[in-house]
Amino acid sequence: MSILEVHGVTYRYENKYQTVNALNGVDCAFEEGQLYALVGKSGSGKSTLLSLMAGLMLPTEGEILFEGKATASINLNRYRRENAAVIYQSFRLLPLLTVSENVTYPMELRGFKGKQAREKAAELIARVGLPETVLNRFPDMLSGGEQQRVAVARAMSMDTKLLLADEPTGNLDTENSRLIIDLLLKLAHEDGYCVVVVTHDLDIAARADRVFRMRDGKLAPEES
Amino acid sequence: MQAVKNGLKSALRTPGKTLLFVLILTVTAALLTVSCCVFGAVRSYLDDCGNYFHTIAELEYIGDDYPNQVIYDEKLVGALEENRDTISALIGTEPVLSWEPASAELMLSPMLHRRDLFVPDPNAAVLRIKLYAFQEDQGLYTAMVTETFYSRQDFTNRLIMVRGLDGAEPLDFPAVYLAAGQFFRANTPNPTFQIESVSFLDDGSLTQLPPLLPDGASVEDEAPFRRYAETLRIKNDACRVAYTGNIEDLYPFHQQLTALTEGRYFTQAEYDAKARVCIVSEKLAGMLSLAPGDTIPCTVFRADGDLYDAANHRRIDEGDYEIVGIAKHSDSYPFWVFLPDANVGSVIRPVNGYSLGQFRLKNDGVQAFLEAAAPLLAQNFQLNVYDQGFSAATEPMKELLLISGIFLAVCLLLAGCALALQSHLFISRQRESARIMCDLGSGRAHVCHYFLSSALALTLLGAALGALVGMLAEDKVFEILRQFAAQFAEQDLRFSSTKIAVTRTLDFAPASVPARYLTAAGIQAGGSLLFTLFFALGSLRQRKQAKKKPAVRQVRKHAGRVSRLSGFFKYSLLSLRRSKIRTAAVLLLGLTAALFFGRLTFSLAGYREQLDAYKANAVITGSATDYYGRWISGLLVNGHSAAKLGVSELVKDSCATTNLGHIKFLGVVGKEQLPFSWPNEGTFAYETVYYLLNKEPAWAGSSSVSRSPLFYYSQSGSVDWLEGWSEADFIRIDDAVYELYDDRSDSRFSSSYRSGPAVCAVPQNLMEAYGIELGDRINTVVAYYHPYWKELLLPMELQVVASYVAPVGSSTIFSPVTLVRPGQEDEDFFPVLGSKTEKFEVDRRFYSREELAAIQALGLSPAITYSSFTFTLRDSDRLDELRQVLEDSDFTWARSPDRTKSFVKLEDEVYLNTTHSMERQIQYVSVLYDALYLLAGIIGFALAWLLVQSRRREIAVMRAMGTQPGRIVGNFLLEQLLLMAIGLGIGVGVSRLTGAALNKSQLLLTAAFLGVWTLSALICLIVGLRKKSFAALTEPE
Repeated sequence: MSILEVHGVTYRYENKYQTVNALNGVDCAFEEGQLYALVGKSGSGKSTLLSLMAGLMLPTEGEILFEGKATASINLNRYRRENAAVIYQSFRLLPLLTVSENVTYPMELRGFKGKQAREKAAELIARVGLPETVLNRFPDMLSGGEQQRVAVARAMSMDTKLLLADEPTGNLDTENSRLIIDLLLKLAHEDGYCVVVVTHDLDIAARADRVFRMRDGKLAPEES
Repeated sequence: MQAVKNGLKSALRTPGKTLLFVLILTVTAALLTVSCCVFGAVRSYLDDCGNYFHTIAELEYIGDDYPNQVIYDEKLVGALEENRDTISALIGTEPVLSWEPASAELMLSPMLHRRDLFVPDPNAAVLRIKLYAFQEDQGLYTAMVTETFYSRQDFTNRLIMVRGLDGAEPLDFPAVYLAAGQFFRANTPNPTFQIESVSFLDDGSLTQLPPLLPDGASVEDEAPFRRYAETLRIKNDACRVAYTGNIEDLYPFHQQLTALTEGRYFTQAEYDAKARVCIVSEKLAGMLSLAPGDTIPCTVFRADGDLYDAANHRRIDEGDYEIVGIAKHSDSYPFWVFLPDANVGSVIRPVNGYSLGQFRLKNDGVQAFLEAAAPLLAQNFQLNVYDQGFSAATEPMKELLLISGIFLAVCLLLAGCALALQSHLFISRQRESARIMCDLGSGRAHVCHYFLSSALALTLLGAALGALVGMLAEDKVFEILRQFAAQFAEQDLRFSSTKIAVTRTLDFAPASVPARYLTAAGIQAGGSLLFTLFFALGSLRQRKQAKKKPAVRQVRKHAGRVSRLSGFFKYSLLSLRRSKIRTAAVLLLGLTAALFFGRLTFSLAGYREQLDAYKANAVITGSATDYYGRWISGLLVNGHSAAKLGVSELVKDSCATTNLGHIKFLGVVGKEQLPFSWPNEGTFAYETVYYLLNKEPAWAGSSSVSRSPLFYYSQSGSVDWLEGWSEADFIRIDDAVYELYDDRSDSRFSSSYRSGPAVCAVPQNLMEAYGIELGDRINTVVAYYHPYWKELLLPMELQVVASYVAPVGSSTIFSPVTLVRPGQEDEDFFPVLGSKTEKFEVDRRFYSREELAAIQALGLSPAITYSSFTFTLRDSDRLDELRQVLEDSDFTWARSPDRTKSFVKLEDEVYLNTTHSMERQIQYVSVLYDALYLLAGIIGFALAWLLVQSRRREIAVMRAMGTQPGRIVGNFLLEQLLLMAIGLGIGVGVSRLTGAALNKSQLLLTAAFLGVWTLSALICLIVGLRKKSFAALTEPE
C-alpha cells in the first residue's frame, strides 16, 4: 500500500514576467521499503515535488495524500515533525549544536528528552557508520560525508516513515556518495523507510528501486 | 558606451527597484536641500545682522554727583590719570573698532542768546548800575542799569533792586558802580540783584573781582569785569560741540534719541577733511531760523579742564560753518552742534559730566571687550553697552544656526547611511551580473563603468527631484523657522535691563539661493557615486580574493562535556553559550549603549543641576530709574506702586528713599554750638539762609540704610550701628513717629518726638569732620521740603545711631522715611492700625489692615512720592511673575511710551544671559542627544535585524524539521533579549561604579533600547517565518 500518493499535483508560481507551472498534473505513489529516484533536468520540477512531499509548501492544484490524508488538511508543522524527514544537499545541520544535539533535536520536538534521547542518538550515529567520538563535535568540525551521515542520522531520529533527500550526494565525493546511497538503500530495504531521492546521479538512479523521470513539470513514463 | 547602455537598460528593466532607489535618493536630496537652505539662510541672516547693527559702549565714571552731565569732577580727573594706560590699551584691543572721546568743546555764535532752561548759570550778571535810593526796611537800593556787560536778560535802562554785599559798608547814592552778582527771586516789584564777591580763573590765574568798581575807573580796572562777562557768555550762551568720526554711531543717534529731520549726514570726505560743516539740533536751528545750506559764524573753543571755566578755553577754530543737517533734539540734548573729524579718536581727556567717551565695538566682541575692561570696571568706571538689538535679534538665530547645524549633520549622516545602503543594495542586486561580466572577460573599469553609469542616472534623477522638493518646501520651512525664532523672541523682557538697548529690528526674510540647492544636490550625487564606486570595487576585490584563496575551514574546539540542558529554551541557552563572538559582541554593544546613555543623561542631568543651582543662588535686583533706564537722584516714584510691590511676596530687601532736605550741624548736644540766628519767614534773610542751607549735606528719608541707592549701585560699603540698634529699629514706625509743629510763640517751626529721639545715620567722613560719635545727639537746622507748603526751616535734635562708609563717598544723612510729614498729617501717611476699621484710606486709595501692616513693616507709606526705590527678587525662578506684578503695580519699563508711570529696571541681564546660555546648552545637547539616541536606536534596530537575518537558514532548518513557529520565535527572541539585557545591565552597573548616579532617563533610554532591539528581532523573526523562508534551504552557502 502506498504511504504517499500524489494526485494531479500542479504547482504554479508567479514572477514579474510570467507564471511558471513548475509541476503540471503530476500523479505518482510511493510505498514503504522502497527507494525512489526522482531524476530530470534542472528546472524539471523534481525539487519542487520533493518540497511539496516534505510539506514545505502546498500544491496549487491536486493533492498529496500521506497515509490517505491530504497534506492540505493536516498540520504541516506536525507533518514535518512526525512524518517527513528531509536530507539536503548542503546538510543543513544546526551549527551551534553538537552532532548529538543535532540528532536529538527532532526527538526533543516530539517529547523525547535527556538520556534516552542521547542514547538513541549515539545508536543512530553508530548506525550511520560514524564513531562515538563525533557525538560531541560541532558540524563544522566534520567532513562533508560525515556531516551528511549526521544529517541521515538526524532524519532517522525523527522516526518517520518517509525520508526525502534532495541531492544528498551533490556536495560529496564518489566514496562518500556511495556510502550515503548504501545507507539510504539499507534504510529502505532493511528498516522499511520510504526513501525518495532527488538526484542527477545516474548511478544512484540505477540503484534505486524505482525511478521517476521528470520533464517540464510532468512525470515521464515509469521505468523499473 | 556599451557599459553605459547596459547600465541604463538594467535600471529601466527593474522599475520597482529603480523606483525604490530613486525614492531613497530623492528623500535624501530633499533632506539635504532643506537642511542646507535652512543653515545657509540662518547664517546669511546672522551676517546681515553683523552689518546692520552697530554696537557701542559708553565709558562712564561713577562720581559723587553721577549722573550730573555738567559738573567737572576732580576725582574723575585723578581716576583718568591713574587709568590712562589701561584705557589706551583698551582702545587698542581687538574688539574695538573706534573710540570717540566725549565732547570738550563749546561753540559760540554771535547770533545765539540762549533763553532755555539748560543755561548753566542763568542768573549771573555784570552790570553798570546807578544807585538812586535806599529802602531801609528791606535793605535794598533802587538802581538803574546803565550798561549790561552780561546778563541773560537785557536790563539796560531799567530799574532794579540791588542788595549790597553782606557785612560791607553802605553804598553811596546817587552813584554809578560796576558790579557782578546774581538776580534772585524776592517779594519786590523789580528784579532784585545781589552783589557778590566773584573770583574766576582768568588766563590760568585766580582773579578776584572787587565787589564794586566805582564810576570813572580805568579801562584796565574794568578789564577783569569784561573778561568775567565774556566767561559768563561762553558758559551760558555757547552750545556743546561734538566732533565725531561717525555721527550715526554717536550715542544719541545710535540709540535713536535723535535723528536727522532735514538735510544729510556728513560725507566721508567731510570727515576726512574736517570740513567746516555742521549738523545742528532742531531747537538751535529753530531759534536762529537756520536751514540746511545756511551758514553760521562760529568760534569753537576746546576746554583743557572745566568746560565752563573761561580760563580753560582754547580757541581752536573760527569761521563760517555750513549747516548740512538738522537733527531732532531731545530734552537732554537741546543745543548741540556736531562737527566732522575722522581723527577724533585716541584722545583720552577729562570732561564735564561723567561720560568719558564711547567705543565702537565689533558686534560679537562685547564679551571679550568687557573681559579686557575688567580692571576699569573694578574701579568706579562703568561701561554701558548698546547693541541696538543685535543680541536680541541674533541670539535666537544663533540657536537656530546651531540646531540647523545639528539638523544638517544628522541629515548628512542619515543621507550617508541611506546612500551607503542604497549603493550596497544597488551593487549587491547586480553582483551576479558583475560576476558574469568578469567571467566573460570584462575588465574592472568596464564593470565600474557599468555600475556608475546606471547609478549616475538614478542619482541625477533623485538629486534633481530632491532639490525640487526642497525648493518647494523651502518657503514653508522658512515660515516654520520664523515662528521658531519668534518663539525665542517672545521671551518676556518687560522691565529687563536687556531690553533697553533694542532700538532697531531686522526681519528674517531669507531669499531663495539656487547655489544651496545645487550644493545639496551635488553633495548627494557625489556621495552616491562614491559609495557606488566603493561597493563596486569592494565587490570586485572580494571576487578576486575568493578566486585566489581557498576557503579556510574554521576549526572550533570540542564541545567538551555533554550538555544537560533541555526544555523549551534549550536552543537559546546553548546558542548564548556557544556563539561566543556573537554573544561577546552583543554584550559589548549593550554595555556600550548603557554607558553611552548613562554618560549622556548624566551630563544632561549635570547641566540641569548647574542651572538649578545658578538659579537658586542668582540675585536679581531692581530699581526705579528715569525714562532712559538710568538711576538718577530725585526720581518720582509713586508710593502706592512701591508699597504694592514691597508687600508682594516676590521681593525682599526693598528700600525707598525720599529727599527730606538739607541739614546744617550746629554741634553735639552738651558741647560747643555754632551760632545760628533765625530769620523771619518770608524775608530776604529767610531765603538767603534757606539758600545757604541747600549747600549743606543732603538729608534723606529711607526705609533702609544698608540698601539705599548708595550701597545698591556700588554693591559694597558698610554700616556701623549703635549698640542696640539695627535696620529694623531704624524703620520701626510705632517707636519712631515724629511730630513737627509750628511753634507760633516763637514764630518758627520746632520739633518734638512722640517717643524716643529722632535718629539719623551719618556718613563716616562727616562724623570725623564734626567730631561726632555714635550715640551723640546733635543739634541741627534742617531745610525741609514740604510737598504742599513752602520749604521749612526747622531746628532739630537728632541722635546718631549709625555711621556708614559708602564706596563712592557721600554726604547724605539718612533718617527713617517716617520722619517725612509733620504733625497732624501723620495719620494720613501712617494710619494707626489699632482702630476697628478694616479699610484704611491713604492718599485717596484704600488698603486692608493686612496690607497696610505689611507696608508699614517695611517702613513705607503709599502716600509718599519716593526719590528712589530698590529691591531684590526673592526667588529668581519667579522673575516672570515679578514682571507682571510690577506692571500691575503701575510701574513701567524704561523707554516705554507710557511716560506717566514710575520706571523700573530689573538688573537681570547677567541672569538672563547666563540662564539662557545654560538653557541653550541644554537645548543643544538635548537636540544632539536626541539625535544620537535616535541613531543608537536605528543602529540597534539594524544590528538586531542583521543578527536574526544572518540566522535565517537555522530558522528554515528548524521549520523544516517541524519546529513550531512559537518555539522558534521564543528561542531566538529570548536569546536576543537575554543577551542585550545582560549587556545593558552590565553597562548600567559599570556606569554606576564609575560614579555616575543612576537616573530615570538613563533607565528609560536603556529600556527603550532593549525594546527596540527586541522589537527588531521579533519583526525579523516574523518576516523570516513566512513560507518563503524555505527558500533559504536551497540557497548555496
